[in-house]
Amino acid sequence: MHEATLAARMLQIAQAAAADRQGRVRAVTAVIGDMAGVMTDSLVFAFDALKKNTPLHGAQLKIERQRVLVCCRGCGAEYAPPGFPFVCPQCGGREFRIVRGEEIYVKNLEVEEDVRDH
Amino acid sequence: MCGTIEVEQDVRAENLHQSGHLREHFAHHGVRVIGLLGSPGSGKTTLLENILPALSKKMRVAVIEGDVATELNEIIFALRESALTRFALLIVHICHVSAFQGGQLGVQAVQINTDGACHLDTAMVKKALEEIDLDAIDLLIIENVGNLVCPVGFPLGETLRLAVISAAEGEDKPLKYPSAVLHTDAMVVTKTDIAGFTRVDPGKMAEYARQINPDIQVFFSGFDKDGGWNGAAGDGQSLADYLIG
Repeated sequence: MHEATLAARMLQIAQAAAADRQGRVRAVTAVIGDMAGVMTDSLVFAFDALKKNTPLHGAQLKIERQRVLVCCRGCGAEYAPPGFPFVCPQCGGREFRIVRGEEIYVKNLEVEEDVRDH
Repeated sequence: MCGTIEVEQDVRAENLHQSGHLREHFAHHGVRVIGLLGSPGSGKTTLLENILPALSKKMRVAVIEGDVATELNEIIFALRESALTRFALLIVHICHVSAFQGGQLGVQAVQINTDGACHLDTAMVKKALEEIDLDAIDLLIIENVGNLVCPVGFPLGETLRLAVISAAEGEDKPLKYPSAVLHTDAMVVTKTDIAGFTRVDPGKMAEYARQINPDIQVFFSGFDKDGGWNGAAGDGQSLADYLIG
């Protein structure tokens, strides 16, 4: 949902993090949870469209998927549910808290090094 | 040769920050906030029209209406004023030049026209709040734009969020919109009176919703053959009592 807005925000975050090395950013790695509601193809498309004519025009958006992990509120076990309904494999409990799988964050940047960096 | 700059920054952090700020603002003024989410035509406005009298008996209520276009929902609340005579009515257009003043007592309603945006956001709500004295109300209901996807990801600092899903939308609708079911506190199944025509079992809808979110409260709402509203109840309580808290 709103992949263009997300891509624009990623570019902003990357530009701020890279500071004066923006022109040498070769990749932006984003972590997208499997339940984040993001179409990654659309996100990459939007990123590639929006990066043009910016200092990050040479940067590729790399996506790392994060699978869903939940914590059983009954026994505390963490498990990766195959689908709904979420059922704890340890105690059979149905109450859960989502621990991973909904995130959308910029993890890191790969920056081409320059002798001036050292 | 490449080096790595660690970033670890949430893309939606600003939005969540603003939502949290709104939540604190509402709490500071002692206002309980209900968010109504649902597809276009799910029955959000009708539910609100019919439940307002019960809410208004116990709390001072104001409404923020979000629509892509028109002020029709404001007019609906203005026409309802005869049934809600205990509280001040002030209808204000915040996106158009004309202003309509309801002369009688009723419920304060502020219309937001998003002009195409598919959900309300915190900036729009903050703008609408300029027309509302939070110290003069106890309960604020925010009816979001008709959309069961985008509003889910853009919280507005609400105390409770309701997913309004009608019996005309298919029995498996809760399964098709897991995020809406996961990230709301209650589902209201509306139009139960036509479920027989749409071959939908509202109980099955509730079961599907609980498969996604075992904590979700479920209420059922409809009209009887004489056009009377059934009051919306479920999980052993009335929806009005649930909203009042």
